[in-house]
Amino acid sequence: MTTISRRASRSALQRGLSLVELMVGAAISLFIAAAGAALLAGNLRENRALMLESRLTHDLRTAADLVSRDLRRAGYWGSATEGVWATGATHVAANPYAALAPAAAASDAISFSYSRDATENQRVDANEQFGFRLRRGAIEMQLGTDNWQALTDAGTLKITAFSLAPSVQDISLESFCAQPCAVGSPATCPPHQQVRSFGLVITGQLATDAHLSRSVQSQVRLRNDPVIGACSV
Amino acid sequence: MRVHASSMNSPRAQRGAAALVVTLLLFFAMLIAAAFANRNLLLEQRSAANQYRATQAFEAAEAGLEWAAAQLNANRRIGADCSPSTDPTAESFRSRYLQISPHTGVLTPITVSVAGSAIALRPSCVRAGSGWSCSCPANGPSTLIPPTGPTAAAAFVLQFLATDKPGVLRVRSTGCTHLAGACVPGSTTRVDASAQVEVALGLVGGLRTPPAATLTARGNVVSSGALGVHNADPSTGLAINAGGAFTAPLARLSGPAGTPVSSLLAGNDAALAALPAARFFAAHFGVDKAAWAAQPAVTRIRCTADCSAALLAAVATAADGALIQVDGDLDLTGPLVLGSAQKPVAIVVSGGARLDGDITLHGLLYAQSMSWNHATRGALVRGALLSETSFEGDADADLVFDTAVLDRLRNTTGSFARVGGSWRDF
Repeated sequence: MTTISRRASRSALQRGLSLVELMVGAAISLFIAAAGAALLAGNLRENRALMLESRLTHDLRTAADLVSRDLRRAGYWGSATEGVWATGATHVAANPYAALAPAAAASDAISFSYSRDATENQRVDANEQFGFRLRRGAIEMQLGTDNWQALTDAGTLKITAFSLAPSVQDISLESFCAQPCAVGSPATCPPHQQVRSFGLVITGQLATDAHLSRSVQSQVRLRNDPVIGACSV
Repeated sequence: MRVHASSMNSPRAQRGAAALVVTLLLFFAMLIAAAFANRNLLLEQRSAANQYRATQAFEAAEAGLEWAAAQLNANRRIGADCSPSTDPTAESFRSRYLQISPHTGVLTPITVSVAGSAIALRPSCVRAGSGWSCSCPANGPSTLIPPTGPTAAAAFVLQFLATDKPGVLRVRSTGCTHLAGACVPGSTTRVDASAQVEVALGLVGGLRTPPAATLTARGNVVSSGALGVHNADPSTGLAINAGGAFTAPLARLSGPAGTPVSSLLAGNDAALAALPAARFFAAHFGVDKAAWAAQPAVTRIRCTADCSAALLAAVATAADGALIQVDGDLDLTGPLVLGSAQKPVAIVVSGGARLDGDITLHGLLYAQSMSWNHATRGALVRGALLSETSFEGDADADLVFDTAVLDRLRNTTGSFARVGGSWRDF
């Protein structure tokens, strides 16, 4: 009784498909496959655009970060305490790392130095001279006297604009002079402290697609303020 | 029958479960595919989070430097949590962490001995809620407890380092994304990001060049009393330096042993009389009046009548030697004791100073004009007096030139300022 019924049900299951069923099934699955393929292609295309865009943003941000981190160290001097007046001193030592260009106008190149000596040797060595510039669509960083190294990959990213705009605020130190400056005295009297900051703008586009362009901006405050000039004696 | 029924049902139930498993597998595969497709987004997210943390640690370290300068310049008593304290035995931030030699001005960070080894005292702060909560330990490690909660709380710890230059110290600030790792000395817990910045701070003293005489006046010195003027310091050696005439028949003068009385007086000093008042101030204080009064360490007061109470209150509030700017005239009535040999007072009066009665002052008094009446022999000034114009009165007081008091004003009071070229983060 049991075996007969099982055999009967099995034969009913294995009856097979009719042609109509097959055609309908094939049509539906083709539709699904076509929609799926279109979706996949779109997704891949979007994904690639997104990836290129994020790589562009990422590269620009990394370059801006590196520039601003290095730039804010400008003017560090290992023996800065020698620049402090002490009782009985007639003059104070000057910072050998104070040179910085550009001073006033915005530029696509900057040159500065800071001390890396374990024991300060009071001069700008080859490995203490730094700079950034725009050359052939890439930002280059100066390491050593004539050694420039690219920060960005010109093969994937073309830098179209690199600008460093200095803004300098002068704080007069006249109130710290024992003697007022004579009328018509040079610009170095009274001495003034320079509070410097740079507006950094980097604009870049994809090497393969000029339509995709991104820009990063940053304001870098230089931490080491130089003092220019001296009181009249 | 029961066997039959169950054998009929079970394949059907199993078919349903298989469909569920296959569907779940398909969903899982789709999820993996979606995550794989968006791995750039995840990478971007991670790099943004890293940059955020690095910036947070760096800004915390920078905040530490600013906080250190502000605390060093605030001449007030602090408690263990660095907030102002009313406890009269508490010390200031400056004297808790720095030992200043009053004679040479050399700054030495204070270390304490804990379990046989010397450790440097390191104040620290952690961001809690909308502000910072801080710990200013006086005799051991910091007692800060890391706040619990979902928000990452940035922290910084300070370290003071000596330099070979008098009046200059280096401050190193370490910032972290939370209170652990580099921000807790000896901690082995890792933090997401930490940054270290360092700067040198130089002390701009409350007094730059002490006067050469006990009493310096650009105008006349007229005393009808038995005014005692003493200067036992051989390197300066002047009792009275006046731009005008000196009229004091009853004055008692004394100088270094073996010095004749005539050499203690420099009256009718043409160079002093010709010196403009602003330069007279700057020659001694190193800055002009406005800049001196604008220092964070200076307390400004203004009195309409007798100034004794206000001045006493200002001196009592200051934890170390007080620098006080009096806008307008200063009227003081004795008996009154201002300052001590350990905590001298520098008072700059923009108007005239009128002293009456027995007043004891350790420190320096600078005024546009000066008079002192009705004082007996007990009245005393240890330090120096500076008048832009004249000094007059009938006081019998003693004025004693005190190098130690003036050196203390020069080397321990005043404000710390950043030394240009000393900032570094490497």
